[in-house]
Amino acid sequence: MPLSGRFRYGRDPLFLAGLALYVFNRAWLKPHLHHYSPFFHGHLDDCLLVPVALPLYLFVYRRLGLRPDDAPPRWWEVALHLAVWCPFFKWFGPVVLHRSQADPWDLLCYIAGGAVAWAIWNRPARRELAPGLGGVRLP
Amino acid sequence: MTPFLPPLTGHAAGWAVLALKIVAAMGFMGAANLVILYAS
Repeated sequence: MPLSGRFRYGRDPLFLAGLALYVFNRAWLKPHLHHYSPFFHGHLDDCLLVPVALPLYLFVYRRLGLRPDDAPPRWWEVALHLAVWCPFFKWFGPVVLHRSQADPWDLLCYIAGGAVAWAIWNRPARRELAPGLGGVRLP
Repeated sequence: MTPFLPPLTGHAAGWAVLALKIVAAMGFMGAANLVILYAS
């Protein structure tokens, strides 16, 4: 396991904050906007894809035994899922299932959201946390 | 009774279990992707 704190999947602070932001935007903000906003009606959800969805996927892989430890999401785990999600949501969805829209800016939002989430999950401060102690900060 | 397939033991069993886990993970990913696509 790398020198970083244990990842908490569904209890990860970034996951919880992203989920709260998604629910707030969907349930309250979008219905109260009087004009179409490209950011709040589209790009924000795309930016939240990795921080909200990836922890749940990784949790399932961990329970299946395919993930060897509870390390924060690795760069290649983020990249691998982006490599699946980008063609799925922006080609398979719009072209085959006639669902969603193929907007190149959405791909940029996926990647930007994933890069920021990875940077937060793997920020240097995490290296001060004791591995295997559930995020207890050492004196 | 003669089994149609030989019993899976050792490395073969390990690979079979790993293959099943990968198939399960891919199935979960496909289902979850569809949920996200239709829920968004």
